[in-house]
Amino acid sequence: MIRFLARRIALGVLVMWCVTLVVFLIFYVGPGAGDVARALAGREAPPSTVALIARNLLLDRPWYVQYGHFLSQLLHGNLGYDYYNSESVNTIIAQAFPVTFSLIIGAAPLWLAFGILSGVYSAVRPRSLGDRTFTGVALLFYSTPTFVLGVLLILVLYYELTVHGVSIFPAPGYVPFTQSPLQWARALILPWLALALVLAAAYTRLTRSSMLDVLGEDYVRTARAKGVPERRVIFRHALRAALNPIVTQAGIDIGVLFGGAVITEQVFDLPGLGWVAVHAIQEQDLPVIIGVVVVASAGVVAANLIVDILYAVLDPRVRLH
Amino acid sequence: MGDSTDQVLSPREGTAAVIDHQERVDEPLLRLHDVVKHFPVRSGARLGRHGREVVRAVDHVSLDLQRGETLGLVGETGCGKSTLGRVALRLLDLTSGSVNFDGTDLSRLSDRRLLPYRRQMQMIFQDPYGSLNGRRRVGSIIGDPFAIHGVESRSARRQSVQELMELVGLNPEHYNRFPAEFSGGQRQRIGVARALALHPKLIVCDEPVSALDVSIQAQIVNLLAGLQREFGLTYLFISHDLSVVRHLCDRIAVMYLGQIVEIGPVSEVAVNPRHPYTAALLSAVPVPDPDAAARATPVVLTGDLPSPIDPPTGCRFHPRCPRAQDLCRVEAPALQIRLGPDAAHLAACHFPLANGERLDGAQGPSSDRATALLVESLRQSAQALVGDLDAAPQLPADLASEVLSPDGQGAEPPDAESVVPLPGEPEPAPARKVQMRSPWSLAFQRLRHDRASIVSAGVILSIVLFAILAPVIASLTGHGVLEQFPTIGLTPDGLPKGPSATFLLGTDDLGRDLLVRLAYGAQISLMVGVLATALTVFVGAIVGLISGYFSGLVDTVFARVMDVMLAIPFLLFAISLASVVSVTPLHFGPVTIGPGISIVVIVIGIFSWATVARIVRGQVIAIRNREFVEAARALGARSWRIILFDVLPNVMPTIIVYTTLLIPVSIVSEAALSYLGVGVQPPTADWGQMIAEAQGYYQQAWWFLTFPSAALILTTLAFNILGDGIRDAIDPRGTDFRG
Ligand SMILES: Nc1ncnc2c1ncn2[C@@H]1O[C@H](COP(=O)(O)OP(=O)(O)OP(=O)(O)O)[C@@H](O)[C@H]1O
Ligand code: SF4
Ligand SMILES: [Mg+2]
Repeated sequence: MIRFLARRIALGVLVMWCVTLVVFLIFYVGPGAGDVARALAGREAPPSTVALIARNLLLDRPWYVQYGHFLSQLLHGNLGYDYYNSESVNTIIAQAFPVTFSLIIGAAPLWLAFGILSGVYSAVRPRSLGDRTFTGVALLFYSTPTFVLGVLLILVLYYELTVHGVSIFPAPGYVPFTQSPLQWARALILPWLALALVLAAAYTRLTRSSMLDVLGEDYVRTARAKGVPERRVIFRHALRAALNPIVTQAGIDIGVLFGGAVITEQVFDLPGLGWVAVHAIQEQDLPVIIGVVVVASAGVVAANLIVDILYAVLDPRVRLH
Repeated sequence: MGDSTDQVLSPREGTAAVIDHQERVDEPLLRLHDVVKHFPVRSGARLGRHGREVVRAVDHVSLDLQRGETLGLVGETGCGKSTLGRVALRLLDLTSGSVNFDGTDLSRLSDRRLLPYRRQMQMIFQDPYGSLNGRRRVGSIIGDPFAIHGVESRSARRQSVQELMELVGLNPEHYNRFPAEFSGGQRQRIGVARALALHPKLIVCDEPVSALDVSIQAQIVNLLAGLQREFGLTYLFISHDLSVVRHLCDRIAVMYLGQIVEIGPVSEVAVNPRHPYTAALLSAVPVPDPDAAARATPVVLTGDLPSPIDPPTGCRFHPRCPRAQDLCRVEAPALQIRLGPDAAHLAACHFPLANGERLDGAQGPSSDRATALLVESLRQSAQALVGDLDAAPQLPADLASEVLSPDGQGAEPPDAESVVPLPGEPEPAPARKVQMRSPWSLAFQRLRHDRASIVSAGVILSIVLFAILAPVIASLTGHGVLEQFPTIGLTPDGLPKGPSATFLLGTDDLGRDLLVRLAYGAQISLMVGVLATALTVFVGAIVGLISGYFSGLVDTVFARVMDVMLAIPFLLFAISLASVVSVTPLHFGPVTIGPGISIVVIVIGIFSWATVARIVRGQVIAIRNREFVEAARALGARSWRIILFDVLPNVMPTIIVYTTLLIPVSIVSEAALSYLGVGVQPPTADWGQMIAEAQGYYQQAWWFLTFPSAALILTTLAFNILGDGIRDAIDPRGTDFRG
């Protein structure tokens, strides 16, 4: 167990190190020696700022010194400085993180519940009307890009309903939880739905095929033959075994969402990490992008680690490799 | 059976081999000395148990195999029989000890140096389904040894293969068939033909008949016996079926928990077992004589087979042995002559049974009578097994029965096999429809009957046409893709105009024709979708194949890289890459990356190959352990050859399915990047970009948002449905196409 955790943590560290390396390559090496400072300074920065940056980041020194400096800054928790807006990147990210977190914390239970239940139903009653419906709907949502679904949800559930006098769903935007939990939830319903529907579709498909595999196994047949109640067979015996790939996938997805909720945030105007990144791009504000990438990667690593731990706790036989 | 050493001269072997053979005739063909094979196990979640544990699969085994003899290796499942067989052929590395084949120590030779010896020793596998690559034609499977060793020209090869097929009782005309079109027994004959191709001296048969019907077992056993007579083969015959072993073998070796506990001539070991374990095994073999059956109550061994990770102290059999005493728990008995006159009969037991003694300690009937009974029962069970022994040697006649079995069995070989037609029955006219149906054409056939897939393929085709015809559409409407119509294309308020005769799908916010822009957008979507997918699949498949096939360091490195790639937030990196590029082009050595489609393709490719690699790797790992890969290794095939000819065809279905399913993912990724403004740059027409622009107008111009969204959804949906259809066609539930 301890060795297992040590391995996973080591992997996480490795991932983070690779991330810093790639970021460094993209932002500090890629533009070419003369242009790094100018690119980081943002649009129309005065030469004095560019010179300041070059000095601060040791850009006149060899690349490994620059990288060492970059890394040590990160290790000290300093994500950089946004010269364009004269603000610390840490501050910007600290404000954005709760938004992304809110989005994921609400969407994950939704999509897992939708996906797994419909998948189990489909697998247990293959070729039934319910199965066909679920599979068809899943295929449709699976094929729908998040941003298209999001825009359509806004169009129908917010705009059309509001125009016709039913204002259940608010306009895109964000309300902090601390300000009003109710408004927070209300503002997030549509984003949760958009994210959950698209992701649930993948889980319906995954659960269905995984369950079908397991239901064909001998031990499930044995359990049935022994007269174990069907409900128990499905949920205790089969689903348990079928859950493995689902948990793995959930780990990857939740992790990636810390960076990949970009689109949902963009569509619904939620000022989370992804939104900040996209706006930074529009402003050509590279230091912020660096900060977001590093933090989002850390989020991914942390999420994967948590799933691994859950995995080991839930299933003591977990293959430790 | 019996002594066939005087017949070892194969009619096909040259005189050199004869002389060579006669010089060393007194020396054993195979000599295993103190062979140890341990498998390290990753200590599982056993708390508090650190350090490396090993499975002691084979623990200090010494064994001689004389030329032309058949040594039966028996024992419970998991006792290490297969491992010993594989070590003997050097398919596994030894932990310690030595393997001496025909005077050469093979135990430390590299794969390259082993190659010439691979021609002389072969293996026949247990699973007639798993030991043949279902994606290759029988002719190519049997011809594999020639190809690998380059011994026959391509043209001569076909002839040799057909001779081999005839030799083992297969119809040479079935040269072009796939393994799935043969019954279990026939497949086993294919395996035998392949093993025989290079005239080996030694063949390890790992339970070659235990997966077959009893009636078919007899035919295969007879085939093996006949071939041995004809070619002077030496067999190491692994089995858990004592009656088969008694019929075919000259000597028996009994294994227990990685060690040989008794070894000797069949007539000795089977009649007068010395080791209590052997006696227990024998007592479980049914005896036809009711008299004898009444006396020979089966001895039921108590307790489970102990773990080979942590075998019992002293004699490994002591926890289950009815004769165990204190000495047994402390001191391991050596394999030596304990009793009786025959120096060739060894047993590892402190308290061996006496001649004719029964395991429960009571004295049996007079030993003479017991022997007579046993011999009689042996004869009877052997007859039941193989029919009239005296008639057996006429191989062709005997084999005819199976060769002539009906041909229509391709679909369900196991069922068809239980009906064995009488010998001499005329061969039915070959059923045309099963001829040469490759797994691919079967899959294609299934796909053709799937209406959803056909419709999707039609939709995809239309979209492709739409994209190709974009310039034509532009010239027909007279609206260029970038052409703005500020007066006729926009309302007086400057808003997009709805669908009309002039603008079939309406206009966008700059007064451009939506239809024309959609068509050009389709070009981008399809192009990026296909290119990015091709890049992804190409890189992913290569990495997956290499990483999955070569375990060890290569795999560890690749697997970590994959983990890292999968853990990196793809979209953010894509965005940052694209964003830097939009500020200043990147220079990595000679490579310059600027904005445009190529960056989108590269970004998608870089960040999604790991998914493909992971899936391919998983499949390869499963395939790597299949018997047909081992068969290829036993033939001496190089790794690249195995990867290309044996592994790749079997992962190809997965690769194809993933390719179809990845295209829509790539299309969506491209659209998303463009939607975010970091993909394809304006004014180039692009679906994702159009949706982003339309978002500001959803209240005034539904068409502006709806048509690009619909185009995108329709495209991805069609690809997904087709991908699902292909997957179902290639791997339909219920028919195990992997077999
Ligand atoms: N590659 C491997 N890695 C780890 N353990 C292995 C490996 N191959 C075999 N073993 C273990 O070694 C022991 C002997 O296995 P082996 O396959 O030789 O037994 P066997 O006598 O052939 O059994 P069976 O009758 O089932 O074929 C078993 O405990 C098995 O689990
Ligand atoms: S040595 Fe002892 S325990 Fe082992 S087989 Fe002989 S009698 Fe049984
Ligand atoms: Mg075995």
